[in-house]
Amino acid sequence: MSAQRQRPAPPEPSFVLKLAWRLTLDPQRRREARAELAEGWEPRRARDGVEAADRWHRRQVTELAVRAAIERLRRAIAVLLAAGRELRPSRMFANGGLLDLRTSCRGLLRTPGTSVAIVATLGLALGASLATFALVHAVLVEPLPYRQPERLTRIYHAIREFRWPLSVADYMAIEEEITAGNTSFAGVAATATRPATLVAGELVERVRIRQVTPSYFPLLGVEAARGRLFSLEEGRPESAALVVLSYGYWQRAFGGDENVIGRALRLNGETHTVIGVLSTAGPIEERYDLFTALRLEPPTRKGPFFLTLVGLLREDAEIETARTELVEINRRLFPVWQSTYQDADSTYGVEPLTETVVGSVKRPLELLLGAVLFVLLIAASNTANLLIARVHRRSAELDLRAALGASRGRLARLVLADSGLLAIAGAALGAGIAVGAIRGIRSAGPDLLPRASELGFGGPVVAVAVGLMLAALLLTGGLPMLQAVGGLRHRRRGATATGSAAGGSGLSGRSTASAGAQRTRRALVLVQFAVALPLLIGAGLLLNSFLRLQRVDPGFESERLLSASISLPDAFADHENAAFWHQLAGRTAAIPGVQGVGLAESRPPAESQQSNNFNLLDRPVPPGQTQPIATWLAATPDYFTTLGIPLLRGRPFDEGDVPDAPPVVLVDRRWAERYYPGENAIGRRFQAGGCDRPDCEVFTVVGIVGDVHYNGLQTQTGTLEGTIYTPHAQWPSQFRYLFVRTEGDPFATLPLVRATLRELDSEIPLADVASGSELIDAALAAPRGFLWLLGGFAIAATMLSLLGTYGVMVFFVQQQRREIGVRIALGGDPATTFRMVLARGLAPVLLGSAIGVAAALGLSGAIASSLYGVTARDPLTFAACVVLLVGAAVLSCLQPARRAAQVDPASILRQE
Amino acid sequence: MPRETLGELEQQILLAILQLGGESYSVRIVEELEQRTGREVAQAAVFIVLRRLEEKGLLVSRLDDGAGTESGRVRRYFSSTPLALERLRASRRALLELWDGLEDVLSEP
Repeated sequence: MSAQRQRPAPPEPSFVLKLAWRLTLDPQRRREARAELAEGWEPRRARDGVEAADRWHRRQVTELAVRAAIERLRRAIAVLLAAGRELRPSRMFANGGLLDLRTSCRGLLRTPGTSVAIVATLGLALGASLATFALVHAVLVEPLPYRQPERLTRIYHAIREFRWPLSVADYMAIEEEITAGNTSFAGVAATATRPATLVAGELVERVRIRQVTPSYFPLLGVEAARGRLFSLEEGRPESAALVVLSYGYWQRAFGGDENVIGRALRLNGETHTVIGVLSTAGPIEERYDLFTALRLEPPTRKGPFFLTLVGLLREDAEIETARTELVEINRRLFPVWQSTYQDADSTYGVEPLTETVVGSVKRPLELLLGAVLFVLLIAASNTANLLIARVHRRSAELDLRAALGASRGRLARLVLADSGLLAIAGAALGAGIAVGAIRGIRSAGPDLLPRASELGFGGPVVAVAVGLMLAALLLTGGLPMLQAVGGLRHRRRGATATGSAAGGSGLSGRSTASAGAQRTRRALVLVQFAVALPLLIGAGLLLNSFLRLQRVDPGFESERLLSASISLPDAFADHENAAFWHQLAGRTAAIPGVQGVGLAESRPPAESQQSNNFNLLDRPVPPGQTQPIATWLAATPDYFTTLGIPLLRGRPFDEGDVPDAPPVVLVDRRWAERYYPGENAIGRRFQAGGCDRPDCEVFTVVGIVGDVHYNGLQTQTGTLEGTIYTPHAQWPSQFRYLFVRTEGDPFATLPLVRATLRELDSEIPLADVASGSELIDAALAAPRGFLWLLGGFAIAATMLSLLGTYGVMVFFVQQQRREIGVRIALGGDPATTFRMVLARGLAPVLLGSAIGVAAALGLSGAIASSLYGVTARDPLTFAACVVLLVGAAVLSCLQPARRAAQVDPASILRQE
Repeated sequence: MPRETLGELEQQILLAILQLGGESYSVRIVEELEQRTGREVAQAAVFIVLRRLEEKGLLVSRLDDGAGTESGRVRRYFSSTPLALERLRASRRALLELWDGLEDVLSEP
C-alpha cells in the first residue's frame, strides 16, 4: 500500500478550483472524481509526457467544476419546471391542491410560534424594503415635478469648496448674457428667502416667504390655480407690492377662500395685494407660504450675496458648456466690480437642480436602501433555513407519498404550499407596513425629507414590490423545495442501491439528503453573517460617531436658556430698529426670574445667518486671491454673559461701542489661533466684505472669547474656521435672536416674554421658540435618526443571523445523534465531540464574518461622509463588531454542542 | 410528461458499457469511446453523465474502494439496467426509421 501511495501524482488544483469543487460536488463525489482523474492522468503521462498529462488534468478539473455547476443548475431548473407545471392555475387546485393548502395550514398552525415569527420577519423586512424603495424612487429617481426637469440647473458662486449665493450684480450680468442669446441657457431666474411677519386682521404670524423674479414661475412651468402670477414689469423697483399664495397656505390660512384674490396682507409692515394662488408645489415651493416679486435695484457694488439662481438649459445644451460660459462671464465681469470685490479666484458654477434639492439626502438614502435589502436577504434566508428544517421533519411523509406514486412536481407543490402561504402572509403584512410608513413620511412633509410629498405607489414601486415578493418566495420556497425533491432523489437512489451495492457509498440515502440540507443551511448561515456584519459595523460606526458628537462642547450653557427669533417690519428705519431692540432687551431683563438677556444675529449650535470674508491689514492677501472667511454675527454685550461664553482676553463689548465709535470686533479662540498662532490677536485690524479701498471700514480686534458652534456640532476645522462678533449697535438689523437666561424652567418665562413683546408692538410675533437643550437636540436629530434606522436594521440582521446559526446547530445535532452516539460508545471523548460540533457550527460563521469584514472595508466609502470624529475603517469599531457577532454566535452554538456531548449512546442504540 | 430522449453522449456511454461486458468504470469507458469514435472524450463530461444516467435509473453502480485490488484505486463501477436497454432500442428504432430510404444519398463513397 505505502509503495503505491508514493507513485507520481497529478498536480494539485488551484485554491479557486478546489473551492469550486467544494461548492458543486459532495465529498464522496469529490473523492471519486479525484481518483478517476488521477487514474486517467497516469497512462497519459507515460504516453504524452508529464507536461501534456498535467495540462490534460488541469483541463479536466476545470471542466468538471463547470459541468457539475451546470448539472446542479439543470436539476434545479427541472424541479422548478416540474413544480411550475403543477402550479399552473388549471392544475393548482386539481389533484388535491386545495387539500395541500389545507394540510399546510394545519401544519403551520401546529407550530404557531415559528409561523408567526416567519411571517413577522418577512413582513417587516419586505415592508421596510418597499418603503425605502418607494422613498428612493420618489426622491432620487423620479425627475423633479417641473416642466423640463432635466434642463433645470442651479447657478452658484464657487469659492474653493463652497457653493455660495450670488449678488444682484452677478444676476444682472448673467441675465444680460442669457437674454442676448450668448449662452447655453434659455432663461434664468433669481430667488431669495427672508423671514417675514404676516398681519391679516387678527392673524399675526411668522411666514415662510420666498422672493422671486417674475421669470421664476414660467421657467419652472408652475402655473396659477387662481388669479395670476407676476408679470415682467412687476419685477421693477417701482412696481406695487404683490403677493402669490402657495396652495397649501391658501388652504391652511384662508380655508381655500375663493375671494382671497385682491385682498391686502401686511408683510413686514408693507401692504401687499394678493394676485394669485399657485397650482401645485414642487419640492422648492412647498417649503414656502408666500411669494413676493423680487424688485431689484441696480447694484452699486458687487455684494451682498443672497440670491439663488435657477437656470434653464437650452434643449441639447451640455451643462459643461454652460459652466465654461459662466466662468467666462465671471472673468469679464470681474474688472467691473474689482474695487468692491477683490476675489478673482471665486467664479460661477452650475449643477443640476435635482442635486440642489436632494443632494444632501442622496447618500443616506442609498445607504438605507442597501441596508434594508441586506436585511431582506437575511430574513429570506432565515425563513428558507427554517423551512428546510421543516421539510426534513416531514421527510417520512414525503417518502411515503413518493412511494405511493406522487410525482416530483406534486411533492414540490406540497412543499411550496408551506412557503407560499407564509410568503403571501408576509407579503400582505409587508405591504401594510410599507403603506403605513409611506403615509407617515408623506405627512411629515418636506421638513423631514425633500420631496416627501411626492411619495406614492407608482408603477415602478408596484413592480418592485411584486418582484421583491417573488424573489422572497423563490428563496424561501425554492430552496426547501429543491431540498425536498432532491432529498427524495437521494432516497430513491439509496433504496435501489441497497440491492446492488456491495459496500455502498458509505452513506445511506437519508443521511446524504440531510448532508445536502446541512450544506445548504450552512451556506445560508454564511450568507447571513457576510451580510449582517457590514450592517453591524455600519451601525457601530454611526454609534461611535454619534457618541462623539454628543460629547462635543457646543460652547454655550444650554440649561435654563430660552431663545426665539424676532423680525421687525421693513418700514422701521435703523434708529427705530435700534430703539426697539434696546427697549425689548431692557423690559425682558426686568421680568421676574430672568437672569440675563442677549440679542444676536445667529443662534448656536446650527443657525448661522452670515459668513464674511476679511483681509488682515498686517498680512493682506495679494489682490485677486481668495480672502479668508469666518462666521460673522452681531451680538449685544450681554449676549456673551447670558450664554455663558467666556471672555478669554481683552475687553468685552460695552456701551461705548456705538455706531459712531470706531468699529471693533471680538473673535473666538479658533480665529485667534488660526490667524495669529502664538501671537497676540488683540489690536489686529482688518477690512471686510471684500472692500479694500482706504475709505472702507477698518475693524479692530478688542477681545477673544470662547469657541461656540454656529454651523452644526460636526463642524471641525476647515476653511470656515473661527467666528467674528461685531457689536449689535454697530451692525443694525431688523432680525435678531433673543436669548433669555432664566432661574427656573425657561418655558415658564415664555408667556411673560411674549407679553413684553406684545406690549411693545402687537404686530410682531415671537418665532422659532426653543430652549437651549432643544437646540442641542435639534442639532443631533438627523444623525440620531439615521443611527436609529441603521442600528435597527443591524440589530434585526444580527438577531436573525444568530437565530439561523442556532437553528442549524440544533438541526445538525439532531441529525447526527446516531453518529455522535456511536463515537461516544466507541470511547470517544465528550469534550472532543463538543469541540467537533462547535467547530462545525462556527465554520460558516467565521468564513461569513471574514467575507463580511472584507465587504465592510469595501463599502466604507459609502458611510464616510456620515461620520464625525471616526474613520470609516476604524479598527476598534471593526474589532468590537466582529467580537460581538462571533461571540454571540459562539453562545448560540454552545447549548446544542453541550447537548451533543451529553448524548447517551445506550438510548440512541435502543432507539435504533 | 414526455418521455426523455437520450443525448448523444448518454447514448454513446451506455453503448460503451455494453461493449465492455455490461459493467465498467469511467477511465475504461473513456478509453473505449476514444478508441471506437477516434475522437478525444472529456473524462469530466463522462463523470457527470454517468451519474446523471444513474439518477435517471438507466445505470446502477457499486463503489470499489480499491482495498485488496491490484490498482488500489477508488473506482465506481456502473452497469446498465433493463430500462437502459429499452431506451437504447427505442433510440435505435427511431434512428433507423429516419435513415430509411436515405442509403443512396448518405452512403459512404
